[in-house]
Amino acid sequence: MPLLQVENLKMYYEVLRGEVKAVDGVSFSMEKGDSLGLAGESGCGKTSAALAILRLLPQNGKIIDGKIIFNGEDLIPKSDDEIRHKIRWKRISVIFQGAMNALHPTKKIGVQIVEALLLHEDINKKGANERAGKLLDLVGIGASKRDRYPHELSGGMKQRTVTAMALACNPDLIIADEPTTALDVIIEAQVLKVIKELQQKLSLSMILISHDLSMIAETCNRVAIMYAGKIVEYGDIVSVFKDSAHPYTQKLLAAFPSILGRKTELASIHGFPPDLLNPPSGCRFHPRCEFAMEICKKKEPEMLALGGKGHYAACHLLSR
Amino acid sequence: MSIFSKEGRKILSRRLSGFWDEYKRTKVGIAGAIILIIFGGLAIFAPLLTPYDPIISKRLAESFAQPQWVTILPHNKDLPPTQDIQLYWTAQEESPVPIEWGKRVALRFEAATTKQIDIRLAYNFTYKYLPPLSFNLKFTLNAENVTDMTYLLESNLINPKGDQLNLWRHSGQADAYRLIEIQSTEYWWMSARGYEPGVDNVAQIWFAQQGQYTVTFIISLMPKTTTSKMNLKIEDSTFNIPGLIHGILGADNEGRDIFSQLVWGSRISLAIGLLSAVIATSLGVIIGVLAGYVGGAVDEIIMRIVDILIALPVLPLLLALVFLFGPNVIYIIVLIAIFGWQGLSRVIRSQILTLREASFVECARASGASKTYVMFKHLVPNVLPIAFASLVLSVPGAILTEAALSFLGFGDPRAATWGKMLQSAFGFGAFSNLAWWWILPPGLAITLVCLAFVFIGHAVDNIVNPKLRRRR
Amino acid sequence: MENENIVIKARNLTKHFPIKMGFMRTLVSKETPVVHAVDDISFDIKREEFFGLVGESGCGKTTTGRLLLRLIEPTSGQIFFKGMDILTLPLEREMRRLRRKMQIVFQDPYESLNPRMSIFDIIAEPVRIQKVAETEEQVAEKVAKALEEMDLVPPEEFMYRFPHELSGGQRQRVAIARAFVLEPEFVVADEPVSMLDASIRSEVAKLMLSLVKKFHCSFLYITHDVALARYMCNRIAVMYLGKIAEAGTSDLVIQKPLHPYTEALIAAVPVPDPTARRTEVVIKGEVPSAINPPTGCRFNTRCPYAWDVCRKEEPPLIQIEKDRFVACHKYTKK
Repeated sequence: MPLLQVENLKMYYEVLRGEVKAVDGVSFSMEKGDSLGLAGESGCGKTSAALAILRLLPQNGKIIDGKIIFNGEDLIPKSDDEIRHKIRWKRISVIFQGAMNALHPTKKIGVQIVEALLLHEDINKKGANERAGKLLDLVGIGASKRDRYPHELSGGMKQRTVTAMALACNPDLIIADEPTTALDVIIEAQVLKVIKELQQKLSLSMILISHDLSMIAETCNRVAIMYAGKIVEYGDIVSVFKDSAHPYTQKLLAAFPSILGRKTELASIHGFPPDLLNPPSGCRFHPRCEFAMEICKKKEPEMLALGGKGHYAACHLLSR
Repeated sequence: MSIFSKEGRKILSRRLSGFWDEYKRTKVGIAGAIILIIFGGLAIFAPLLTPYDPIISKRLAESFAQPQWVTILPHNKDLPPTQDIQLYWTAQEESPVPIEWGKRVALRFEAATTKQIDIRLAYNFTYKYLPPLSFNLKFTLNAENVTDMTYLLESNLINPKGDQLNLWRHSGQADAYRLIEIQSTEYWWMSARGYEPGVDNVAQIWFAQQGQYTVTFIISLMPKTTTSKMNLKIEDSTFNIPGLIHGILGADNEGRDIFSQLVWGSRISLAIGLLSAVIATSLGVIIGVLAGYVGGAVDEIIMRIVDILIALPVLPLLLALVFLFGPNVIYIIVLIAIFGWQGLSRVIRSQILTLREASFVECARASGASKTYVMFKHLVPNVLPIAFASLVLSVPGAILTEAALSFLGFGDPRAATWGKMLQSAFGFGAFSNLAWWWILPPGLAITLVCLAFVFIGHAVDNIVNPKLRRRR
Repeated sequence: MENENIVIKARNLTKHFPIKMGFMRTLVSKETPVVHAVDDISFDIKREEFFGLVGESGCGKTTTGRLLLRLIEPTSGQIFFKGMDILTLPLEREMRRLRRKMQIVFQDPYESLNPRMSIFDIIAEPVRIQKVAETEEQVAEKVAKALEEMDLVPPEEFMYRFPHELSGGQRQRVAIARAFVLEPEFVVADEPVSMLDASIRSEVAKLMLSLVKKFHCSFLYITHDVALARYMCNRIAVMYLGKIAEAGTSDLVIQKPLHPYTEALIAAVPVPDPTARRTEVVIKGEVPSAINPPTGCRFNTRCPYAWDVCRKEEPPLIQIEKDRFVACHKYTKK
């Protein structure tokens, strides 16, 4: 049984002028131990999808349709209280973008982790303190630093602290939203190394949200490429990156320069992402696609399976 | 970029239409704008809207006359409005002497005999209301060239039952030119007719019935010789009954129209409020920009002065200062402004501190801009929106402060503001007479105008304050 | 090197920022602590060259860019623009005139445009400040031309808009248009594309590359994105904690790094290829404080090869081959 199965998730934001179709029919699944990269540019809906899974939506965000089946149970019909007490942080936890800035500035980091533990687990203070120390060891900061304040730590250490907090209750799934965006290259590599080790040690499943395809290539074994609220290509990472089927995926990959190999021509895509209040008809990428055909303007392409190894893409070029 | 060039105008119009697009979406902003347009209209068109002068026209009605529309209520149905009855005298019978009558009664008498001539003039009117509290009779008497004769003039009131009350009597033998005015509440007039002043009310007694009333004017000419003559003119005769209801908002203790006071008061209250706010905002912007941009010791000194000023209690100080300088409108405006700029200067200063570091400022410097250029072209325009929001939001405070000063008696006595209305109401017995129509309108007006500015300021603030901008 | 070919020469450039201390501490301590942002760096930028300044945050690359344009005054050192020592120029007149030739493009497309100015005014600003046009029509001509060069066509469509009506990529083009309206010879670009989406990034990057040939100008391209630096720059210099660790042609520095820091940096950069095999990053720890940098070679606290001499002596920047410089005792020992 897959750990997480998202079926046709639709989440819209209600604004004055209408509905922003931020997540419009997204489906994917994960097995235990997978690390799935949710990739795309700004405004494609990847963060919104994660927020929907955790039900951390703003006032005007509404889940319109779909199923989020986690460990066999659909999360959508559950009440807010159930999600808060049983799911969030205990079974699914999250590391937000810029989370290192969300640490409480006047509390020691050890105390903050203990707080999270006491809130969610049936544990006494002593046990919580021990566990906090172990978690800090796990992320490579060391239990000795538990009495430091956030401003005494560097960016990378703060990010790892937040990761420790996310792991506090031994969740089955961690969602990390741009965990290394604000970090320098070398620190980023250190943090990613820690995350990969944790994955192995704890058989952790992870959804990694990022616009940086290089980072996803290094850390994930599966990837879903999102564009304008929809998944355009999805599957095993090697297949998607090496045998990209969707024109957007191909162009996007070519837009990331590599320090290895020959210098290739950097690709760019004309225009900019569509307004999700009134998305284009048919395939949402058609206004910017150089292969666009008549049918692309009229009909939305379906997600088709390619080859083996669970590689899917939604493009009319494939059905020819 | 000057607004006179084609590009400049295009940019300006885009800016304004963008602002208006956002503004008209806010409900409070529209509500505030509507209220302001109403009061602004009152202020601007005051001379057209008010038939009476707010201060000079007195005795338009009885003291504390209620507004005219209270007659909607059944028990107020028959309250009398002010009746200014112009007496067009008519002769009851054929007059023995040629006499011109109507609004102006004129006769030339040349005696042929020494017989007494009696002329009887009268005017009828219907009175169909509840009894009034007083009435008065006014006319001009002009007796000329009185030669060798005596004349006797008399005026009476006859009620529907037929009873007659003498209003006035005069006999004379010489020329006379007088303005005659008799009041039914006047001490000697009442006691001469057998009524007790202070206890009886003649009007209530005599106008107890609804029906036809007559005012008569009797002229008796008694020539002594056959060459006696005189010219007699009676002009501008009016029988005035001050009403118990009056106008849109009733009357004050001296019978002045309260609606006129309110409308004219709007001019000066709004003017004082706006002027003080404009001066205070300008001060706040200038000082804030100076402190933020120049920095260093100048900044420190200014901010400490601001700290001290903020800690001072405003109203007591204002009262003392007004007492010192005299209650002149100009001084009041300036003094209110002096206590109103501190908060804004702090806000502007912190905005400037942030903006100073912005990339576009650095770019301007990289192109060779001088410090003054940066200040005027980049910093000030970016703080103007906040200054504008602050301007709008500080008008209510200025209006309220002025109203407070006037109410406490420290306002300019020549300026008829709403605060002054409240002071008069309080001082002349509106409360004990339950004259709500004198107390509520100025209070409500102040409240509504302040509310309007708060609404507008709130709406503008939501648009221009970068931190409050909603997600588009 | 031929002098006519060198646009910018930096020699022993140093910038220390004093730190504000509390009043009490100023009485007690003997010297003011400073942030050693840039310490004794020297390099050349040639004509029509895209020169990259690469490093992590806090290494001093942004400060260097601003120093070259004299937006900040250096603590010591010299800067030559086409042979002219710009630090001796009086600020008011000659330096201001010189600013026509030297411009800057910033990282944040949202912050570098004044939100209350129209696109027209933003691009016209340098023209007006420098008074190079006599009539408003001439100003309008220059603005339209600049917009066309940046492919923001038709220009009338964009002139009367405001920044918030444009996308990030378009805004950055406006910023570049502003930098190029006076046809400069040297432009500092501080992380110009890092805040843009990947698909837009390359468009703007390619635009900048095309401007080099069109305007015969040079770029100092400041970035932490090593992969992009490899793609765009002819030569790069790698900075660490205020000093240049290594410099040379971008291909060589990236594919055959000499300095241990550069090695670690390259090894840490992720590539968009899941099958690529990478060497492990072996350095630990964090970047030390710039207020109290380590003695000797600043990288010695994290360097896997550190010897005794590295802790005592600072290695000078020496030339290994033509156009290849490195500051490391591994190479000075010999």
